[in-house]
Amino acid sequence: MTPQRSAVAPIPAVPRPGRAPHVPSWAPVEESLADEELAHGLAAGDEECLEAAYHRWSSLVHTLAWRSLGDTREAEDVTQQVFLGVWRGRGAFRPERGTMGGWIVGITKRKIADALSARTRRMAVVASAGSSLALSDPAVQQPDTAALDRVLVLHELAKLPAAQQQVLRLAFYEDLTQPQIAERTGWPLGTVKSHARRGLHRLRQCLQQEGFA
Amino acid sequence: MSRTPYGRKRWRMSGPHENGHVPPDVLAAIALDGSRLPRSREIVAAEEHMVACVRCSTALAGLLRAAAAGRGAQRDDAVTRPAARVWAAVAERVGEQDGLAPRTGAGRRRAVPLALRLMAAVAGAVVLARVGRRFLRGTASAAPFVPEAEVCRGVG
Repeated sequence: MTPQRSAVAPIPAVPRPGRAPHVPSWAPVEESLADEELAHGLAAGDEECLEAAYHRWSSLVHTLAWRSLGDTREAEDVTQQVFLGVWRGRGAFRPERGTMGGWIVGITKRKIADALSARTRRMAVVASAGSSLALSDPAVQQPDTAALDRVLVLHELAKLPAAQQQVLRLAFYEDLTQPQIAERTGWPLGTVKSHARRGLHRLRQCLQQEGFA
Repeated sequence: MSRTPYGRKRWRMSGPHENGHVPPDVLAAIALDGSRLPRSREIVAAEEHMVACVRCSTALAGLLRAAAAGRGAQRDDAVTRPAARVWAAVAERVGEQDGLAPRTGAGRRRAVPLALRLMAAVAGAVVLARVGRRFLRGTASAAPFVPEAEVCRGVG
């Protein structure tokens, strides 16, 4: 594999569904409970832990669904399905196999796939009924992995330690190389490399958690 | 081959992660800086190694994917909160399940308002039944005693 990437120019914006009619939530996620405590409480059937999990992950779940489906109502349905799935399947979460966030994202992906399959079936019915309204609609096909990646990475980036965030934001948004970032920040190159490695590793992990192929 | 830090031969002979594989720092630098990296001996060796090493090329692919997502992300990709009705629907469905089998403390807490709502509904039905009978019979005094307790027992 050659490590060439189309780097210099940022990836051109892909056409996307219209903006969701919700105010973006910049509020910090509820951090009062550690993931382990939350998982434990959830397994014990504590509804407050479900609510805490909802507060922590519903925006991510909803945005993933909305990005994939391009329809607010369907995205809300998927969000509801996911958290009902979390509640019903709470005994199936295995902390040793991954984080709770990863588990919930995995459920989200499956529910999104279900919603897309249902859509495909509806379209097939329409097509078999002789309509020319065909399967050409790109939204009825596979989930847009790149779109999901962007949402997940942006969400994870905001959770990184400040220095790692700064290095990665300079690399991503200002397209600076590591030596340029060192120059800009005044940090030693080795420090920049270390922040970049740790941060990028975390971003990669969030894309490759359970349920994320 | 074995002259280079991550030569193929050395990779084959050494299993452990640190020995013979491309260091994580270098992988991250390749993923982020790509073709703008100076063609140092280290970078050339890493590229040669990755041609043959599935593990390192897979790791790089994961980092490239993360970097591409990061570069492509826009404000539009920021998470947005779902409408309040979504949680209301989840809570209602969960509450329904608990109503059938209230085992947890939380379930019992929820069961109280549910019981109150049911009792209110029963009371309303009772009043309606009385009014209805009066209306049908056309006389107030003929309204019989309505067995409220019986109705409540049926619900509880």
